[in-house]
Amino acid sequence: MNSGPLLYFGLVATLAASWFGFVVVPHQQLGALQPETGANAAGVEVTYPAARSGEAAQGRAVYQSLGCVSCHSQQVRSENNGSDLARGWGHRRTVARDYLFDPTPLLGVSRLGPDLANYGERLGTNSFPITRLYRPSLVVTNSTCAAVPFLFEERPIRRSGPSPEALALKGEDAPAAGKEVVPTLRAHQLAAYLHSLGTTADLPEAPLPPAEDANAPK
Amino acid sequence: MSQSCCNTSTEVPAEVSGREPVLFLFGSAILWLLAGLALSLLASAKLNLPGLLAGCEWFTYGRVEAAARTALVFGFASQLGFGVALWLLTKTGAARLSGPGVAVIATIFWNLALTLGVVGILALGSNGLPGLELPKQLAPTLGLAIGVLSLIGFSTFAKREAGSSSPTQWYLMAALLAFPLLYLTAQVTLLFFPSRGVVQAISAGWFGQGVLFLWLAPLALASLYHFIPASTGGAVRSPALAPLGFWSWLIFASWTGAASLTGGPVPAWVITVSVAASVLLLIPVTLIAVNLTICGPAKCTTTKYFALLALAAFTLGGFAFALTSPRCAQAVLHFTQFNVALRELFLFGFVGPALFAAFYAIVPQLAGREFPCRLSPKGHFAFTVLGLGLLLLASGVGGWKQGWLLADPKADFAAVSAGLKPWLWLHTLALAIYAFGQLAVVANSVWLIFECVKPLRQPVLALFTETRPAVAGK
Repeated sequence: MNSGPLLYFGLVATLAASWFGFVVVPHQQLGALQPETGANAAGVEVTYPAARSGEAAQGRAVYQSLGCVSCHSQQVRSENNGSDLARGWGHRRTVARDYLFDPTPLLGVSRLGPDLANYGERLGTNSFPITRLYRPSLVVTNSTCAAVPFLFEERPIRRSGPSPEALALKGEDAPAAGKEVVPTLRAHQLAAYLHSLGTTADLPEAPLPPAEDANAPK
Repeated sequence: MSQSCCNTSTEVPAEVSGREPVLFLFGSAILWLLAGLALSLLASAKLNLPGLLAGCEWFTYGRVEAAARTALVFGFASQLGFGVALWLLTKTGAARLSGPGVAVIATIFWNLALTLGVVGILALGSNGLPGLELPKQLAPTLGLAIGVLSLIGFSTFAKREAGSSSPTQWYLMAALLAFPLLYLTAQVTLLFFPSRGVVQAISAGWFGQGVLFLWLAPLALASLYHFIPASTGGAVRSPALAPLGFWSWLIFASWTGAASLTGGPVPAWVITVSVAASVLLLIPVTLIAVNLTICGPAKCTTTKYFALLALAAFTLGGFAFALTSPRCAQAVLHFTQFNVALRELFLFGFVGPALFAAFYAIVPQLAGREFPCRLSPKGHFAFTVLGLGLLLLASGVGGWKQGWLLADPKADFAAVSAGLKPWLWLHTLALAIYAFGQLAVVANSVWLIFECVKPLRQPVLALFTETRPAVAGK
C-alpha cells in the first residue's frame, strides 16, 4: 500500500468500474428506447408516449422551477413495493418508457405530498381546482403544500364585469372591494401540465391489469 | 485574509505552508454553514407554516430546500473538507503545499460561482436534479476550482517523504480523485448533453451518492484516521485492517448509486446491484469502526469529542443505511423522512463533526494562538449532540411512522400528513438548536480573528489619526 502508482491505479479502476456500470451501461440499455405504437381500444393507431403540448410543456418548466419535485414524486411502484397501486396512484407500475420525452425525469425522492404520476388521469374531465395553487389549505385541510400566490395577480375588476377566471375567495382571503384575483399565464400552464400527467397506456413491459383493458389505452 | 497575520517566524514548518488557503477555505465554509442552516431552517419552518413568505417566489419551498442543500454540501462540507485535506497532506507528507496562491484564487472563484449559483437557484428555480441544482452556466467555474484544488492536493502528495503513505493519505487521494471525476461526468451527462429519460436519473443517483460516499465520507474518514489516534494518544488497532476497510469501502460505496431509486422505473439490475452494495457496506463500516475505536491516555480535547461523535455517527448511520436499503425495507421507508434522517445523520453527525475535529486542531496551529473562548467549543459540541439527537428523533421516528401510514392504503393521505405534523415541528426545533450551536464556532472564530488583528490595530489607526503634512494642499 505504500506505492503511489498502485494506489492511483486502484482508485481509477474502482471509479471507472462504477462509472461504466451506472452511466455507460444504462445508456446502452435504455438510450435507444423508442415509443410504442399500437392500436387503442377503438382500433386507432396511437403512439405512446407522445411529447407534451406547448402549454403543458411550459407548465412542466414552471413545475420544475418551483421545485415541486421536492415533495411530489412521479413514479408508481409495483404492488409488492409499497401501496402505490392500492392507493389508486396508478393502474400499473411506471417504466422507463413513460419518461421518454421528459427533458428531466422528475421522479422525486420524497412524498410529503401525494404522487402525481397519474394526477391528470385522476382529474379526468374535472378541471384542476386552481385555487389550491393560491392557497392549498382552502381546498385540502392540513395541507403542507407551499402556496404559490405569485402565480396570480390581484387587479381591479374591469368595466366589462368580473373575470370568469377570478377565484372565489371568501372572508380573510377575499381581495379588497373592486378587485379580483385571477390566475396568470404561468398558473394556467402549470394546470395544463398537471392535466397532462398520466401513464395509462398498455405497454408490453408494463401491461395494464385485465379489468382495465377495456378502457385503455387512451 | 486577515487571519494570516500572527506567525512571524521565518522558519515555516511544512504544515503551516498552506496557512492562507486553508484558513480562507475554513472561513468561507463557516459562512456557508450559516447560510445553509438558515435556509434549511426556513425550509423546515415552511413545512409547518405553508403561508410563511409565500408571496415571494424566491423563497418557495422547493427552491429554498435546493439552495440549502447546495450551500451545505458545496459551500460548507466541501470547502471545509478541502481545507482539512490540504492541511493533512502537508502534515502527513511533511511537504510544503504546492501553489498556495493558486489555491486562494481557486477558492475565490469557487465562492463567487457558488454565491451566484445559490442566488440563481432562488431566483430562477431548480433544475429538477437533486444534488446538482447549481445552474449549468456556473458549473464549469466550480468544476475548474475543484479540479485546481485537487491537483494542488495531488502535487503536494507527490512531494511527500519517500516510501510512506498512511490510511489518511489513501482516503484523501480517493476523495480528491473522485470529486472532479464525479462532477465532470455529471456536468456532461446531465447538464450539457443530457441523456434520455430515466438514464439521467441513474446518472444523477450515481453522482449524488458519490458526492456523499466517495467525496465527503473519505474526507471525514481521513480526518478521523489522523485525529482519533492523535487526540487519544493511542494507535490504530490493526494497521493490517486499514487497507481492507479502505478498499472495501471504496468498492462497495461506488456501487450504491441507485440507492434512492428502489422500486423506481429503472432496470431491476441497477437497483439489485445498489442494494447488494449497500448491504455489503456493513463490512467496511465494521472494519473502520473497530479499527478506530481507540482508548488512549491523552486528556479530553474538543478534537477528541468531535472525532468520537463522528465515529459513532458513522457506525450508526452506516448500519442503518445498510440494513434499511433492501427492497422490503424501502417499500415502507422510501419517500419518507426516514431517509432524510439518514442524510442528516451523515452530514450533521458524521461529516460535519469529523471535519470540525480537524478544524479545532488545525486553526490554533495556523493562527499561532488558541481559540480565545474555552467554553464555546464545549457549547458547540453540546448543542451539536442535542440538535442531532432531536433531528434523528424527529425525522427517524417521524419518518418511520409516516412510512407505515403510507404503506397502509386505508389511511388516506390527509391522515398521513396529519400524523407527520408534530414531527415536522420537532424537526424545525431540532434544526434551530443545531444551528444555534454552530453560532458558537462562528463567534469564536470572529473573536480569534479580532485577537489576531489586534497587534496591527495601533499602527493602522496611527495611519489615520496621525496629522499628515498637507501634501495635496490647494
